[in-house]
Amino acid sequence: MKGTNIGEFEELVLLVVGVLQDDAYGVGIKKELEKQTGRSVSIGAVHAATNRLELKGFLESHFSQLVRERGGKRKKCYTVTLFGQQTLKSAMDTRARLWQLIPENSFVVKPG
Amino acid sequence: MIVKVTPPKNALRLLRWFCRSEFLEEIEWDLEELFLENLETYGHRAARKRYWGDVLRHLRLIFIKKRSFKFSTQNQTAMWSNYLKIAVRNFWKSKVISSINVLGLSLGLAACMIVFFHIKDELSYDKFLKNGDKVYRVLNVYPSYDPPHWAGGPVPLGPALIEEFPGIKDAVRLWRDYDPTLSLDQKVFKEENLIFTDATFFDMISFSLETGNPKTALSEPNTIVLTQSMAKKYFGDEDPMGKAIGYNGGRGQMDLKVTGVMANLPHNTHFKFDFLVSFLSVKRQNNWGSFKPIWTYITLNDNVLPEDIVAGLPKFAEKYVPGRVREEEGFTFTIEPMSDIYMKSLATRNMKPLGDLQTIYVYGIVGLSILLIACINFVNLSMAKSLSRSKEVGIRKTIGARRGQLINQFITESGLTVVLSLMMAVGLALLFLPVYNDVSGKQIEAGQLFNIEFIGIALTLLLGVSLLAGLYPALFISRMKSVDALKRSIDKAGASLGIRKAFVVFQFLISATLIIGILVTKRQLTYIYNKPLGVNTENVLVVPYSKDEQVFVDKLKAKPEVVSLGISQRLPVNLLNYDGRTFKVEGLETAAYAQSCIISRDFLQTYDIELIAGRNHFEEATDQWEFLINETAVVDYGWETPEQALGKTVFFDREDSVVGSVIGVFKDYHLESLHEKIPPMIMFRNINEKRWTTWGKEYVSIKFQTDDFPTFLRDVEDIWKAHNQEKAYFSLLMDDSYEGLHEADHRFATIFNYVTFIAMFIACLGLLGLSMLTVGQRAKEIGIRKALGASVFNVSTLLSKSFVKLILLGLLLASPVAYYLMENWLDGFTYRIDLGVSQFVIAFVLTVLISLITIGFQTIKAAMANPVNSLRDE
Repeated sequence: MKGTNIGEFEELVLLVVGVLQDDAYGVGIKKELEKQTGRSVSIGAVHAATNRLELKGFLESHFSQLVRERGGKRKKCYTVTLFGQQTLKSAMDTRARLWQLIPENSFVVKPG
Repeated sequence: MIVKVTPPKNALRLLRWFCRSEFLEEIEWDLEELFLENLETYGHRAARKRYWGDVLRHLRLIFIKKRSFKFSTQNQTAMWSNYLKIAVRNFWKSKVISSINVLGLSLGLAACMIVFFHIKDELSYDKFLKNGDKVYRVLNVYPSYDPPHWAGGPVPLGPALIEEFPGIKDAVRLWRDYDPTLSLDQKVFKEENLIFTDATFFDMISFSLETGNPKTALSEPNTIVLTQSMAKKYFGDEDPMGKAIGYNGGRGQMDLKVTGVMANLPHNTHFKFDFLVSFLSVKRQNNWGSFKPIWTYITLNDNVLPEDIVAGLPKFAEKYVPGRVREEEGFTFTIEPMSDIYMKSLATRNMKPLGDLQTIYVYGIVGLSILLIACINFVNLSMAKSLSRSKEVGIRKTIGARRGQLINQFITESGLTVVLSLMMAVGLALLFLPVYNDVSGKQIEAGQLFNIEFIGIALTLLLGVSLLAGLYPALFISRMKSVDALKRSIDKAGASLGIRKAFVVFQFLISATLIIGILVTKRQLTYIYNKPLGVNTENVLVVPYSKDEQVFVDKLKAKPEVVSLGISQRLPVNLLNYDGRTFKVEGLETAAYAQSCIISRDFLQTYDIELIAGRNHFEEATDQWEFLINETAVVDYGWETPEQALGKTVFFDREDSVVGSVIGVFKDYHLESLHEKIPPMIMFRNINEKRWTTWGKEYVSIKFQTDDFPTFLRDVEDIWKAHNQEKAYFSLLMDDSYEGLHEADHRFATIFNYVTFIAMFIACLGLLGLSMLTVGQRAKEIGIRKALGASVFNVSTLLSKSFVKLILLGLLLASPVAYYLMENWLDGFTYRIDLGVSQFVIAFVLTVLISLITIGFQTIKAAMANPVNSLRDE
């Protein structure tokens, strides 16, 4: 499959889904993202990202029970697939490796 | 009761319309949740706004339905093919109306296309020259003159500019030589378009050489560059490079070496020349007091603004231009970008006549008006015709057609007509093109027309016109209730009648305006022809001066046909032969300025130039210079009567070797077209023929009286040639050259005639169609009236009355419009007619007459018809 690599925003979304566990649906993800990154995120962007990630196989989804107060609608919740978890880890590893390759004292800012 | 606030319905509808269903549930859920939260935090209004924003942010490829495939079904195709079929049937059913529609529309479109090409061509002038906006032309400004800007300045202007302004990179002068003769072996030709120019000409103005080196071609004295057609004229198929051409003209006599051949100049440039000769060939180059057709072009260094140069020019003029010119006139120089010269230059005295932005607007408006008339026809006829199709609409509606479908159907129908008209229009445009080229003096080829731009224009026209002309009838028909449509109750559609009437009024407003326009332009041009010019150009033949003057003139005078004969430096009518001079006059504090011309023998008598004071014949044997001036000069120099001018001393040159008194004042005559004012003029005889042998002797004007002009012409040529083998012979009739002055106005008038004819024709086509339909719809009424005893006259007046009322209203509205437009046009002439009532009355009568004839045929036919035929129907 073409897209095994993921973008920065997609990576964030994946991580947030991991953080949120049972509460990982559209609005929840949007709010957590805004809280953690401090930037404003549109719901449209979140939907586009989650659905694309699902198509690529990083996320899977299930629908909740019907909610009566909301006119019998269901809420779509996401979990990170094993493939997604692996991708996240390899992304993190790549970064860690790169951080280590940076010669000492060349950065004022230190990792960790 | 608790009002449940819901998200905006339309936003939700939009979302559901574009979004793929598999994503819908999730998106709706989240949007609703956000909406409910926002409702609490920000309130109702803001929440709705945010909801809309969120919906719009879902307009992403991933969510949007792939609709094109889902949409088309068998049923749709069937309906479309049915629309087409009905359209074609309807077209054939009413052949006359349909062909009126197509003919009118295609004429309008064709006219529009030609106008488009004309405008495009006009705007293309000099655009092919590189750096057109970085090259500037220097103009003279005489603030007290009208117009104040003149092109063409003193000889040393260019080099002085380079010297004085560090910001000026280069200056190139173009000096149009006054009709020299060029010779090669036995071939001798008089050439009109020879220009002396500086060595860097090709650097500045991006014409390229076919052969020769542009850097060096003009860098030596006595070198010449020819255009290709001239190379062919002189050398045939030989290689002209390095060969010598003999020059004999205003700058003396010399041999010029050919150093380059350039392509012929395209028609869309303001430059006009066939030969370029190096400026170094000119010997005397330091005269600041004489303004000649020498155009100076400059380029600026990078980072130098033209404003900087202009700011320094008054001081520059003060330093160089002799005080006698400057002080009186507040004289200065200015510059204008080369790319603007053709369309925007305000200067007179150009290399060739320039374009005019206003005329472009006029053409544009007229072209669009014609298209509008054609569109109105189309709309009017379709609407009128649609009434007879109300039954069809009713049935379609009853069966279940939605309004959108009916609109589709009718727009398809008009679209078809437009496609047909567009194809015909292309054919018509091709057909008109030679006529247009002939009238406008351009050379636009058919091949140039079919490019991307043209296709773009055609498609825009197609879409625009089908929508414009198709939409209104479509909306109007589809609005009818099915019951009304079936019952054919037309009064429900009465609203459309008002608009149709307004359209007819508008059409005749335009046509009448154009007709008034024709009449006014005709009268103005006739006025120009018949205006006493102050100079009689009839039966005057001009030949070049010949060296053995005495023998030559005696021989000519011996001929019985010759009435009188004059020799002169300039001819009374010729745009570019001016020689503006400044000189001192006794009693005047400041310098005097005038167009000068040296004459001898009976020049004034030959042209019947009237004398109003003093005498007009020169003393034959005298050492006194004698001057003649015109009325304008008398006024300009501040004398009250012509008599006051007599006896005043004129110091014509700086060395005071040409000094004498004014012996006469002659009546003003026109040097140029009637757009221009008459300038002050001075004439005198060269009395020192030993010193200046042929100074001021260029032309011999012969007034003749003969019944056999061709023989006379041949005799004159024989006499001339017997004396003169090395110079080129030519002859011209002064009458012809005067007509040439108003060529542009003639073109305008001719184009106007065509345009008006087309506009009137289209408007009448519309009227014809409309009257046919009306008569058809009122057939029964007419039948009943006739059965009850109405006469043919009664019926036909009844039918015509409604149209005539509309036409009259259109005419009334046309008068102020036409008055305003024609006043504007006439203002361009210095000598013009006044607008009279007669033109308006004639236009009114003409329009009414033409339209009555158009309607009359139909109405009388209807009135004459046997009522039985119309009443028997059904």
